Amino acid sequence: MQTEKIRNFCIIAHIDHGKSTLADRMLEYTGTITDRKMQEQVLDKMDLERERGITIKAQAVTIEHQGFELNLIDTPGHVDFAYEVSRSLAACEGALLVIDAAQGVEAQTMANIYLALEHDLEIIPVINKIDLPSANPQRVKEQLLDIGIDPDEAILASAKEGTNIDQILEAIIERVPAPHNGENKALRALVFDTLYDSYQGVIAYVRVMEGSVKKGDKILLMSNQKSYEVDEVGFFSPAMQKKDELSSGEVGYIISGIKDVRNCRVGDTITLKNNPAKKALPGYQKVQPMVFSGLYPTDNADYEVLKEALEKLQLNDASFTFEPETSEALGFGFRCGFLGLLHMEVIQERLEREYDLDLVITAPSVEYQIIKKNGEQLRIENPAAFPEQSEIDKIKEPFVTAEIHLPEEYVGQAMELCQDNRGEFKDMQYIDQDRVTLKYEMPLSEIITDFFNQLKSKTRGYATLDYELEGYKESKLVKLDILVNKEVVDALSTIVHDENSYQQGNALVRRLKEVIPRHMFKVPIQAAVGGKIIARVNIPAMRKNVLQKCYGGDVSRKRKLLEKQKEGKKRMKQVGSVEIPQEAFMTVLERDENA
Amino acid sequence: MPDLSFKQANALYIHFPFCSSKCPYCDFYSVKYSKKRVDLYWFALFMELEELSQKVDNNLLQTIYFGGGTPSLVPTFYIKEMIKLIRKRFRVTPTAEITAEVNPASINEEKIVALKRAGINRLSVGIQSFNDHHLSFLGRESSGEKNKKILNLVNNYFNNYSADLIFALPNQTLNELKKDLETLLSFKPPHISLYNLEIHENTPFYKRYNRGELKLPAEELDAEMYEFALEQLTAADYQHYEISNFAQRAYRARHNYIYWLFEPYLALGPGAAAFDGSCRSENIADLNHYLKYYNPEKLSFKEIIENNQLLDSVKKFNPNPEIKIRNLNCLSKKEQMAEYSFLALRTSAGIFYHQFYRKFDLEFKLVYKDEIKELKSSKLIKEGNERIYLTEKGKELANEVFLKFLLD
Repeated sequence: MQTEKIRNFCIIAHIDHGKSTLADRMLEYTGTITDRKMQEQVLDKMDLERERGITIKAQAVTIEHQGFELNLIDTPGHVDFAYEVSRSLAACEGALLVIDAAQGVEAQTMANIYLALEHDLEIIPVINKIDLPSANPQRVKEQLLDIGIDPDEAILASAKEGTNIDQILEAIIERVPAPHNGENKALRALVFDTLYDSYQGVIAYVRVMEGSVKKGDKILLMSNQKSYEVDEVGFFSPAMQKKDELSSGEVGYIISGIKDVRNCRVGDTITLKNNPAKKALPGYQKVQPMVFSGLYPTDNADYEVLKEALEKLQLNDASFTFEPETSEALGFGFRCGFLGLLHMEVIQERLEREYDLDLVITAPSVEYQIIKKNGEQLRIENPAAFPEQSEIDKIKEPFVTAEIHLPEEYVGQAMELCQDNRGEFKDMQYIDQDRVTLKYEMPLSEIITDFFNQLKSKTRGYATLDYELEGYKESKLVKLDILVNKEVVDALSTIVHDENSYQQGNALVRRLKEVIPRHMFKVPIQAAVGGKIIARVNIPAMRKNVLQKCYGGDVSRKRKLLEKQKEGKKRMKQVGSVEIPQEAFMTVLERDENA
Repeated sequence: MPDLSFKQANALYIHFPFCSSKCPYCDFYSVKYSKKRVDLYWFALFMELEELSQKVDNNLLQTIYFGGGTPSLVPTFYIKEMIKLIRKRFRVTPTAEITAEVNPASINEEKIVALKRAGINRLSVGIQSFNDHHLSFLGRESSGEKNKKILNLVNNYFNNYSADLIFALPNQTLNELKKDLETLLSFKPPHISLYNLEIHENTPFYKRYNRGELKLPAEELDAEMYEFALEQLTAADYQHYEISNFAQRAYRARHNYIYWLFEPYLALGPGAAAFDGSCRSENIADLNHYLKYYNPEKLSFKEIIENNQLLDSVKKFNPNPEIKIRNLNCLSKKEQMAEYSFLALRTSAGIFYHQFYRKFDLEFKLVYKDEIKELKSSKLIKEGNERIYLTEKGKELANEVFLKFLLD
């Protein structure tokens, strides 16, 4: 296809503003997908994605409309995957900015607008859900004006009802610039996503910037200089469709027998071995995990199963890392790295569901930089691996800038919450007369421990959060240890700020008391810092546990109850002589309302 | 339709699913009392009895138990006829224990006498408490005074009877239990059943409990109350022969004992459970369903009896094989061993090794070698002469003990 007739665009939106529905509607309208094949939100392949209503992997589809080739690249919709989003944007020239007519501009809308502007994309505002009774397109237009987008360019639509889809398509053709013509140049194709297939290997989703690629070509991945032979190229309809050649301006896939997804990373540039480009496309970054968690099989016998499962998951997810780890309390497991909490939750659910694994998951933590008194520098993600307090000179932790969008009436509470979580006020701006953007600099460790849930509850669900890593700063941090029945349970250790240690120690032991069942003996639970006990509760010994009535009809029911109890016990982790339920290890994550 | 196969069953349970009002803690099946429905129901019962007697040849019954619901609401005419027919269809030992549950709220002297005349030789009186406040909480329509009056009357006419007491009620103090126990003991009932309040699914208490409106006393108080009661009852010469049951010599509940011995028993009525030694059955707990199957013609028991048509109606009885009247559940050997073990441990006698061997062809000491060792060292069981039994502590933590006998 000639480049003048190609349009590459993506859809960016805050969660639930209707991005996927709009994509579906466009596919339907243009006949790209027939009714029969329509499954709600076709592009969200993974069950989990569909269930949670979010997009995790980018998907691409080529739409033919009025002689033009419109390539839609669906982008991941969550802050955890910011890098993937940016690479998808780099593959486009335009972006449909979808805004819910009732909700208006929200945190992620803004975050995505900045990204789109950074990538020089032509933004086409679409005010969606105009069918809703609470829709207020006028207000949204005013918000657009405030952020420097021409409200007259906005198209009012309803993806649900199919209103004005044609206008959107026309706007794409008219306003999104055609990709620049790089026909006779050396091949440079941007990898904006990958998919692992057990037969074909890694499928690279690419946008060809310059040159062309076809079957039989020997390609070179510029970040690692590895080369492969192309088995197949094609486009997405959205199913994969073979093609002879992919050329400048086009979006499609390349299959070339790459076995390891880490060898074909998002953001990398594909060129030809025999005629390599001089420079790789800009923006490539090796993604770093930000949040770490210990994953342990409840039943030690499942270790190999867990290992295999993690290996399989990694095939499709280059940003997910894992390393073997041992815990005194939990046995053999893995320390896993995720891009964020959502990424972690998604992986957790997949492990439990697809591989039927019973897991103990320790509270997520960040990576700390420790400078010991002897000058040694360490990077530690597992609190249990911290050196003795007496050996530590300085501890540095990652900080982020958190951007919160919320209605004005909750600003006081949100500010209090940020301050309670060691946030430093940076800025406050009004988006419009009711809504405010708050900027706080906060430790990442505070964000990943329940901050978002607390924020939501204090703002009746109206607040949205976006954050970006700033760098490492020194903090007065200490390791808070938990002793169960006088023994330190390493998997329950956390890193807290010195000033909060007493409060958090108390809150933690009290929560553990609720979660750990009574035993045949009294179980003391203590919190300690540097060996000094700072909080203590006791779980009294079991006194009475008997079904007093047991007659004819009760017997089977009784046996089943006992069987259930026995099953429950199996799922607990035996730590010394105490049985600790899986939930206990996550307890450190929760915050007391009062803490 | 699959069914139980009885070789011998020495106990028969008959369910009476009618109450004048539903107590909020009870999860036994019952509907509102109505004379007409009882009449229809009784005919249905008779048909099931006939059906049952065909399946069990020449059976010898040692106990018959009318449970409910509130059996004392039944006009004694019905009870009399039922006992008569049972004696016709089964062999009943002359010393058979024939029990009826009674609710003090709906009974009087006349009824007590009538029951005796009808053939009942043991009553189980649902006292629960003598404290008006607690009685009202439990939805019992009687008062402390009435309860005492009834016990007096029962005492006069029956040698063998039992009284129920519930403890560990929300906000109940140890003192209140003391009083209840004292009052009860003043009557010297031959048998006492003592239960802590249990919250069962599908009861009004369950909903309230989940909403946080009902708070049960802490484990510690529950245990204290139980221990106190045990002390008092033992001092008053009652044998603590089962976790919740106390009897003076020769007055143990023989019907219930059959449950704890893991022996077969027969049952009639919706929701009633039977056991043939390896399989359990439960009649579907729905009166309409039961009537549809056993009394599709809606015949009146009274009329049938008065017109001498019983034999005819039996001949005409042709149940619809499409209707499922009961659920069957056959136990694997492991499940049988588990049930046998925890039922036997409920009794003070415990598990006798030779009886276990006779039943399962396995050495109990070998099968549960590790468990016995563990439980002995945690002082939950004691080993006696070729048997094990629960210690006092073991009785209070019985569930922890029972868990060990479940085999994977």
